[in-house]
Amino acid sequence: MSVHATGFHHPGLLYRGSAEYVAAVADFVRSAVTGGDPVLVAVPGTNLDLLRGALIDVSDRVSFADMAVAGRNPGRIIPGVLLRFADDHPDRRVSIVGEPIWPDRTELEYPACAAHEALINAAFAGRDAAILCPYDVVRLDPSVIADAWSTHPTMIEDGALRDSDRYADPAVTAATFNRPLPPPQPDAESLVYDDSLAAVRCFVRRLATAHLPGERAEELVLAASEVAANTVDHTWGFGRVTVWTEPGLVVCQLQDTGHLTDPLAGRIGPPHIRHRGYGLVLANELCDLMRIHSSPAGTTIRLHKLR
Amino acid sequence: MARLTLLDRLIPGDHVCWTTGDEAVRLDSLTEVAETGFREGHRVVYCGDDTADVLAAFAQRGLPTGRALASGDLRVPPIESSYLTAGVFDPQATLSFLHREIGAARDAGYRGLRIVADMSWASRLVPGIERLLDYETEINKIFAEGYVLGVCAYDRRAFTTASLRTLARSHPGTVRTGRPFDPARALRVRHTWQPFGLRLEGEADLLNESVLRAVIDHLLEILPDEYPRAAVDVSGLTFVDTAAARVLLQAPDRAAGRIRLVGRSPALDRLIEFHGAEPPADTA
Repeated sequence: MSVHATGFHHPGLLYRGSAEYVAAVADFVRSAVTGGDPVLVAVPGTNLDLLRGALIDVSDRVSFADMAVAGRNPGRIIPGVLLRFADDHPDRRVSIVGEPIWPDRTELEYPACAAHEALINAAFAGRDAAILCPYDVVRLDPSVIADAWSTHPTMIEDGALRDSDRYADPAVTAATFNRPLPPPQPDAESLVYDDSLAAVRCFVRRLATAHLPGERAEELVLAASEVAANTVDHTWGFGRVTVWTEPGLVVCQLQDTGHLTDPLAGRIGPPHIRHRGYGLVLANELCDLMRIHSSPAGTTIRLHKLR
Repeated sequence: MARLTLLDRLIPGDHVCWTTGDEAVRLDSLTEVAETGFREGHRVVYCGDDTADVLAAFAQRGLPTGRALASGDLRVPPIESSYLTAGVFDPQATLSFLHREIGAARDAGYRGLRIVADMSWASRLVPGIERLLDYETEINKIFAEGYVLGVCAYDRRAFTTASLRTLARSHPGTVRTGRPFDPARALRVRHTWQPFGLRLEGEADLLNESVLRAVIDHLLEILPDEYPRAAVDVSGLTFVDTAAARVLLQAPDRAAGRIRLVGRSPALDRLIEFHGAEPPADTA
């Protein structure tokens, strides 16, 4: 089941139980190590422990990351985990195990995860890399497995690699996950802003510091300021910033009249510091979830910060 | 007179865009700027094409207008000698005006110079008006010297939202009714001599990054050959966003290493790292 050929490969791996998981993923990793690739294994907590144990003999050739931490925010995985690893090894083919979806993913997180899976294909187009995405067929909802068939050009099922007949244009697939967000809590405080980013920061800072330690509060302030900066830069209208708390979370939402048409916005950084466009990438980096819903009628961006 | 305190926290070196709308508020606030200036030993220069109205408002609000005009504490030069020489906006002529006023105020022993400009003339199709934005951006280098305080009053009824927003971004601070000048929410830029460079305070973001770029460009122009490097002291910055960080990060590159950032906070170092740049090791 080796996918060790030049070009970009992005197979989904459907697994049943930890024995099949460990065998299939370890096989992929060992094959990549033998081929001389830098390898990253980014999977959530318990799966990470299983793989660390199974790959102990090649652990000096493999990097490990807990996806539930590094990829807590699905929007951060492409810029902060996958592309970062690829860019750390310029002119090398890289092999990555990336497991972005697990049963505990919330309803609000899932559309950003599925869009992420679709957009990997666009972000890595033309690169020399293999990214294997394991899916737990036993514990994940069948609709999630169905989505995996449309976000992966190839799938591995029962040990066999085959083309997915449901794989479609990544931008088109990602657009199906551009879904409206549930309304804010009715008692949430909000502020209408136009060209004062300082006012947005002051508002978010006041509410965030009541629920978050200083440094994390300031990270949310910076993320909100970056999103509001897009309002100021790309619209002549007003924006509204709303802040509330949910169990375990501080939520900050910014709405404006702009239309964000680039599905990769926030998932790929600009090529050089001379260029603009770092704001949403930074917001993804700083937050535990960033959801974007955009249409010609306006854009809503919701930021989560865990308490 | 009610204390409005829209502009009372301004000090020499500040340059604000003041969006006005309510006439009574405007005249009250102008009076306050002048009154504070007289008290601080500053000369007050009012530029606009409504000087008669403003002088009457000052007198009505109890300012000793006649005495101040006679002593030179207050000057109201005609708009033709400040912004509209021969009916045209010529940035060079306006810069010369500014330098003449600074020289005269210094020679007369004033501790500072307050220039309050009513910019309503700029809402008309004046020849040269397309150069106003560059001019407003460039003169930030003069304010950085710390002697002149500049208030540019833009009547929101006379300008489009788009042009007001664009012009506001050439000022390190903005003021409007309900949003008084607060140094903690604006950028303060001051030139320093020991060490040679700039000191930055307050918040640097997308809305004032063009000011930051202009003053750093100017710093490079005037950096004497015998000084190996200029220091940009960022220890007083309480907030920096990606737009401002990019300006700060590109400065050492553009200066071929002749600019160093001094007093970086951990938050700024994290931002530098995020942009893929190495925090310069020698600039603690």
